[in-house]
Amino acid sequence: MKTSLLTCVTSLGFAASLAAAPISFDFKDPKGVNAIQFSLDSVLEPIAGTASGITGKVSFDPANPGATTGKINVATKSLVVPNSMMNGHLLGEGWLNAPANPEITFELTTLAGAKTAKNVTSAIATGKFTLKGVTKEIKVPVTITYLPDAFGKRINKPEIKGDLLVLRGEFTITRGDYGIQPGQNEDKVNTEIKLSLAVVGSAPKA
Amino acid sequence: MSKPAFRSILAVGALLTLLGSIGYWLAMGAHRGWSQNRVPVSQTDEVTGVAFTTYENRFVPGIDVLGAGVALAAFLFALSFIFRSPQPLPSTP
Repeated sequence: MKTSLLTCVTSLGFAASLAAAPISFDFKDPKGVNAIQFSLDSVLEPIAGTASGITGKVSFDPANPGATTGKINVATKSLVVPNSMMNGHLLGEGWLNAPANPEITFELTTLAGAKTAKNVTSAIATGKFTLKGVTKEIKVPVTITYLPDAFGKRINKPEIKGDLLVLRGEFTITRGDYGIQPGQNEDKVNTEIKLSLAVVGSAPKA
Repeated sequence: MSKPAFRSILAVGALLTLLGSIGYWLAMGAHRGWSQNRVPVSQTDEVTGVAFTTYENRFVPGIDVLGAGVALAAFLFALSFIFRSPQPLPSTP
Protein backbone atom coordinates (compact mmCIF):
# COMPACT_ATOMS: atom_id res chain seq x y z
CA MET A 1 0.00 0.00 0.00
CA LYS A 2 2.78 2.36 1.02
CA THR A 3 4.74 1.52 -2.12
CA SER A 4 1.83 2.10 -4.47
CA LEU A 5 1.01 5.43 -2.80
CA LEU A 6 4.62 6.52 -3.16
CA THR A 7 4.62 5.46 -6.81
CA CYS A 8 1.41 7.40 -7.40
CA VAL A 9 2.76 10.56 -5.76
CA THR A 10 6.04 10.25 -7.67
CA SER A 11 4.19 9.78 -10.96
CA LEU A 12 1.96 12.79 -10.29
CA GLY A 13 5.00 14.89 -9.40
CA PHE A 14 6.78 13.77 -12.57
CA ALA A 15 3.71 14.56 -14.67
CA ALA A 16 3.38 17.97 -13.04
CA SER A 17 7.03 18.71 -13.69
CA LEU A 18 6.56 17.73 -17.33
CA ALA A 19 3.50 19.95 -17.66
CA ALA A 20 5.37 22.92 -16.24
CA ALA A 21 8.47 22.34 -18.34
CA PRO A 22 9.55 25.17 -20.59
CA ILE A 23 8.78 24.70 -24.28
CA SER A 24 11.54 25.14 -26.84
CA PHE A 25 10.41 27.20 -29.84
CA ASP A 26 12.32 27.05 -33.10
CA PHE A 27 12.41 30.34 -35.00
CA LYS A 28 13.36 28.86 -38.35
CA ASP A 29 9.94 29.54 -39.80
CA PRO A 30 8.36 26.71 -41.83
CA LYS A 31 6.36 29.35 -43.71
CA GLY A 32 9.49 31.37 -44.40
CA VAL A 33 7.95 34.72 -43.54
CA ASN A 34 9.86 35.56 -40.36
CA ALA A 35 11.74 38.81 -40.78
CA ILE A 36 13.15 41.77 -38.96
CA GLN A 37 12.44 45.18 -40.44
CA PHE A 38 14.97 47.98 -40.31
CA SER A 39 14.86 51.61 -41.28
CA LEU A 40 17.17 54.57 -41.18
CA ASP A 41 16.54 58.08 -42.38
CA SER A 42 18.43 59.20 -45.42
CA VAL A 43 18.49 61.84 -48.12
CA LEU A 44 15.28 61.77 -50.18
CA GLU A 45 13.64 58.87 -48.32
CA PRO A 46 14.29 56.43 -45.45
CA ILE A 47 16.30 53.35 -46.30
CA ALA A 48 14.00 50.55 -45.22
CA GLY A 49 14.38 46.84 -45.64
CA THR A 50 14.00 43.43 -44.13
CA ALA A 51 16.19 40.60 -42.92
CA SER A 52 14.58 37.24 -43.43
CA GLY A 53 17.27 34.74 -42.52
CA ILE A 54 16.01 34.16 -38.99
CA THR A 55 17.01 31.15 -36.92
CA GLY A 56 17.32 30.49 -33.20
CA LYS A 57 15.57 28.95 -30.26
CA VAL A 58 13.66 30.41 -27.35
CA SER A 59 12.70 28.51 -24.24
CA PHE A 60 9.34 29.72 -22.91
CA ASP A 61 7.39 28.46 -19.93
CA PRO A 62 3.71 29.54 -20.10
CA ALA A 63 3.55 29.14 -16.32
CA ASN A 64 6.61 31.34 -15.81
CA PRO A 65 7.15 33.73 -18.75
CA GLY A 66 9.74 35.69 -16.79
CA ALA A 67 12.12 32.74 -17.08
CA THR A 68 12.25 32.97 -20.87
CA THR A 69 15.69 32.53 -22.40
CA GLY A 70 16.95 32.13 -25.92
CA LYS A 71 18.85 33.44 -28.88
CA ILE A 72 17.74 34.80 -32.23
CA ASN A 73 20.16 34.82 -35.17
CA VAL A 74 19.84 36.78 -38.39
CA ALA A 75 21.89 35.92 -41.47
CA THR A 76 23.53 39.20 -42.49
CA LYS A 77 23.39 38.32 -46.18
CA SER A 78 19.59 38.07 -45.93
CA LEU A 79 19.25 41.86 -45.50
CA VAL A 80 17.30 43.26 -48.43
CA VAL A 81 16.44 46.81 -49.48
CA PRO A 82 14.41 47.65 -52.60
CA ASN A 83 17.34 49.19 -54.48
CA SER A 84 19.94 46.62 -55.54
CA MET A 85 22.80 49.13 -55.64
CA MET A 86 22.06 50.17 -52.05
CA ASN A 87 21.84 46.48 -51.14
CA GLY A 88 25.36 45.98 -52.46
CA HIS A 89 26.65 48.92 -50.41
CA LEU A 90 24.80 47.73 -47.29
CA LEU A 91 26.35 44.25 -47.38
CA GLY A 92 29.71 45.48 -48.60
CA GLU A 93 32.92 46.12 -46.73
CA GLY A 94 32.11 49.77 -45.98
CA TRP A 95 28.91 48.95 -44.13
CA LEU A 96 28.08 45.52 -42.69
CA ASN A 97 30.82 43.49 -44.43
CA ALA A 98 28.54 40.46 -44.60
CA PRO A 99 31.19 37.89 -45.59
CA ALA A 100 33.24 38.72 -42.49
CA ASN A 101 30.21 39.15 -40.21
CA PRO A 102 27.75 36.48 -41.31
CA GLU A 103 25.39 36.76 -38.33
CA ILE A 104 23.58 39.37 -36.30
CA THR A 105 22.45 37.95 -32.97
CA PHE A 106 20.40 38.79 -29.91
CA GLU A 107 20.89 36.61 -26.88
CA LEU A 108 18.26 37.08 -24.19
CA THR A 109 19.76 37.09 -20.72
CA THR A 110 16.90 38.36 -18.54
CA LEU A 111 13.27 39.26 -18.92
CA ALA A 112 12.32 41.90 -16.36
CA GLY A 113 8.92 43.16 -15.25
CA ALA A 114 6.98 40.44 -17.02
CA LYS A 115 3.26 41.10 -16.93
CA THR A 116 0.91 38.57 -18.46
CA ALA A 117 -2.64 39.24 -19.56
CA LYS A 118 -4.37 36.24 -21.13
CA ASN A 119 -1.73 34.83 -23.46
CA VAL A 120 0.33 38.02 -23.94
CA THR A 121 3.34 38.84 -21.81
CA SER A 122 4.92 42.29 -21.82
CA ALA A 123 8.40 42.73 -20.44
CA ILE A 124 11.76 44.40 -20.85
CA ALA A 125 14.22 42.01 -22.43
CA THR A 126 17.87 42.53 -21.62
CA GLY A 127 20.33 40.79 -23.84
CA LYS A 128 23.54 40.82 -25.79
CA PHE A 129 23.15 42.28 -29.26
CA THR A 130 25.93 41.52 -31.71
CA LEU A 131 26.27 43.41 -34.96
CA LYS A 132 29.34 43.57 -37.19
CA GLY A 133 31.35 41.75 -34.55
CA VAL A 134 30.53 44.25 -31.79
CA THR A 135 28.52 43.02 -28.80
CA LYS A 136 26.61 45.39 -26.54
CA GLU A 137 24.01 44.87 -23.85
CA ILE A 138 20.68 46.41 -24.80
CA LYS A 139 17.20 46.58 -23.33
CA VAL A 140 14.22 46.00 -25.58
CA PRO A 141 10.54 46.31 -24.65
CA VAL A 142 8.95 43.12 -25.96
CA THR A 143 5.63 41.37 -26.09
CA ILE A 144 5.46 37.60 -26.18
CA THR A 145 2.27 36.00 -27.41
CA TYR A 146 1.79 32.33 -26.65
CA LEU A 147 -0.59 30.56 -29.03
CA PRO A 148 -1.21 27.00 -27.85
CA ASP A 149 -2.25 24.47 -30.50
CA ALA A 150 -1.92 27.00 -33.34
CA PHE A 151 1.04 25.40 -35.15
CA GLY A 152 -0.97 23.07 -37.40
CA LYS A 153 -3.49 25.75 -38.33
CA ARG A 154 -0.69 28.09 -39.41
CA ILE A 155 0.82 25.58 -41.83
CA ASN A 156 -2.61 24.39 -43.03
CA LYS A 157 -2.15 20.99 -41.41
CA PRO A 158 -4.49 21.09 -38.39
CA GLU A 159 -3.78 17.44 -37.67
CA ILE A 160 -0.27 18.41 -36.56
CA LYS A 161 -0.27 19.53 -32.96
CA GLY A 162 2.02 22.18 -31.58
CA ASP A 163 2.30 25.69 -30.19
CA LEU A 164 3.44 29.02 -31.52
CA LEU A 165 5.27 31.87 -29.85
CA VAL A 166 5.25 35.36 -31.33
CA LEU A 167 7.96 37.80 -30.29
CA ARG A 168 7.45 41.47 -30.99
CA GLY A 169 9.72 44.36 -30.14
CA GLU A 170 11.12 47.63 -31.40
CA PHE A 171 14.41 49.24 -30.59
CA THR A 172 16.90 51.73 -31.94
CA ILE A 173 20.66 51.42 -32.19
CA THR A 174 23.35 53.87 -33.22
CA ARG A 175 25.29 52.52 -36.18
CA GLY A 176 28.57 54.10 -35.07
CA ASP A 177 28.43 52.07 -31.84
CA TYR A 178 28.74 48.93 -33.95
CA GLY A 179 31.52 50.16 -36.20
CA ILE A 180 29.21 50.97 -39.11
CA GLN A 181 30.73 54.07 -40.68
CA PRO A 182 31.23 55.81 -37.33
CA GLY A 183 31.21 59.57 -37.81
CA GLN A 184 30.89 59.21 -41.57
CA ASN A 185 28.12 60.20 -43.99
CA GLU A 186 26.01 61.46 -41.09
CA ASP A 187 24.61 64.22 -43.30
CA LYS A 188 23.39 61.61 -45.80
CA VAL A 189 22.42 58.63 -43.67
CA ASN A 190 21.12 58.99 -40.12
CA THR A 191 23.16 57.49 -37.32
CA GLU A 192 20.12 55.79 -35.79
CA ILE A 193 18.79 52.50 -37.11
CA LYS A 194 15.26 51.50 -36.09
CA LEU A 195 14.71 47.78 -35.80
CA SER A 196 11.33 46.15 -35.59
CA LEU A 197 10.99 42.51 -34.67
CA ALA A 198 7.89 40.36 -35.20
CA VAL A 199 8.85 36.73 -35.49
CA VAL A 200 7.10 33.44 -34.92
CA GLY A 201 8.59 30.40 -33.23
CA SER A 202 7.17 26.90 -33.57
CA ALA A 203 7.06 23.98 -31.19
CA PRO A 204 5.47 21.04 -33.00
CA LYS A 205 4.48 18.13 -30.82
CA ALA A 206 5.60 14.72 -31.99
CA MET B 1 24.22 67.13 -92.89
CA SER B 2 24.13 70.88 -92.39
CA LYS B 3 24.73 72.45 -89.03
CA PRO B 4 21.19 73.90 -88.73
CA ALA B 5 19.71 70.48 -89.49
CA PHE B 6 21.93 68.79 -86.90
CA ARG B 7 21.03 71.47 -84.41
CA SER B 8 17.34 70.83 -84.99
CA ILE B 9 17.83 67.10 -84.51
CA LEU B 10 19.60 67.70 -81.19
CA ALA B 11 16.94 70.16 -80.01
CA VAL B 12 14.11 67.82 -80.94
CA GLY B 13 16.03 64.94 -79.36
CA ALA B 14 16.39 66.95 -76.16
CA LEU B 15 12.67 67.69 -76.10
CA LEU B 16 11.78 64.04 -76.76
CA THR B 17 14.20 62.88 -74.06
CA LEU B 18 12.70 65.32 -71.59
CA LEU B 19 9.10 64.39 -72.37
CA GLY B 20 9.96 60.69 -72.60
CA SER B 21 11.69 60.54 -69.23
CA ILE B 22 8.94 62.53 -67.50
CA GLY B 23 6.25 60.38 -69.17
CA TYR B 24 8.04 57.13 -68.30
CA TRP B 25 8.48 58.22 -64.67
CA LEU B 26 4.81 59.24 -64.41
CA ALA B 27 3.56 56.10 -66.13
CA MET B 28 5.60 53.86 -63.82
CA GLY B 29 4.08 55.35 -60.69
CA ALA B 30 5.89 58.67 -60.16
CA HIS B 31 7.95 57.20 -57.32
CA ARG B 32 9.57 60.11 -55.52
CA GLY B 33 12.29 58.05 -53.85
CA TRP B 34 15.24 56.15 -55.31
CA SER B 35 14.63 53.62 -58.06
CA GLN B 36 13.58 50.17 -56.89
CA ASN B 37 14.56 46.83 -58.38
CA ARG B 38 12.10 45.02 -56.14
CA VAL B 39 8.94 46.41 -54.67
CA PRO B 40 8.02 45.67 -51.05
CA VAL B 41 4.52 44.31 -50.49
CA SER B 42 3.12 44.14 -46.95
CA GLN B 43 1.16 41.07 -45.93
CA THR B 44 -0.21 39.70 -42.68
CA ASP B 45 -0.02 36.17 -41.34
CA GLU B 46 -3.63 35.32 -40.50
CA VAL B 47 -2.98 33.03 -37.54
CA THR B 48 -0.40 35.13 -35.71
CA GLY B 49 -1.27 38.61 -36.95
CA VAL B 50 2.40 39.18 -37.78
CA ALA B 51 2.94 41.65 -40.61
CA PHE B 52 5.65 40.66 -43.05
CA THR B 53 7.09 41.94 -46.29
CA THR B 54 7.50 40.13 -49.57
CA TYR B 55 9.12 41.57 -52.69
CA GLU B 56 7.92 41.71 -56.27
CA ASN B 57 10.80 41.68 -58.73
CA ARG B 58 9.99 44.64 -60.94
CA PHE B 59 11.66 47.95 -61.70
CA VAL B 60 10.17 51.22 -60.50
CA PRO B 61 12.03 54.31 -61.70
CA GLY B 62 12.71 56.91 -59.06
CA ILE B 63 13.89 60.47 -58.92
CA ASP B 64 17.37 59.35 -60.05
CA VAL B 65 16.03 58.07 -63.39
CA LEU B 66 13.97 61.23 -63.86
CA GLY B 67 17.01 63.36 -63.00
CA ALA B 68 19.20 61.45 -65.44
CA GLY B 69 16.63 61.97 -68.20
CA VAL B 70 16.35 65.69 -67.51
CA ALA B 71 20.15 65.99 -67.37
CA LEU B 72 20.52 64.16 -70.70
CA ALA B 73 17.89 66.41 -72.26
CA ALA B 74 19.71 69.50 -70.94
CA PHE B 75 23.01 68.16 -72.32
CA LEU B 76 21.53 67.55 -75.78
CA PHE B 77 19.93 70.98 -75.77
CA ALA B 78 23.22 72.63 -74.74
CA LEU B 79 25.05 70.63 -77.42
CA SER B 80 22.66 71.95 -80.03
CA PHE B 81 24.07 75.46 -79.50
CA ILE B 82 27.45 74.29 -80.83
CA PHE B 83 25.84 73.73 -84.20
CA ARG B 84 24.30 77.17 -84.50
CA SER B 85 24.26 78.80 -87.94
CA PRO B 86 26.95 81.44 -88.25
CA GLN B 87 25.46 84.82 -87.38
CA PRO B 88 25.65 87.41 -90.16
CA LEU B 89 28.16 90.13 -89.48
CA PRO B 90 26.55 93.42 -88.49
CA SER B 91 26.46 95.74 -91.41
CA THR B 92 28.56 98.86 -91.06
CA PRO B 93 27.06 102.18 -92.06
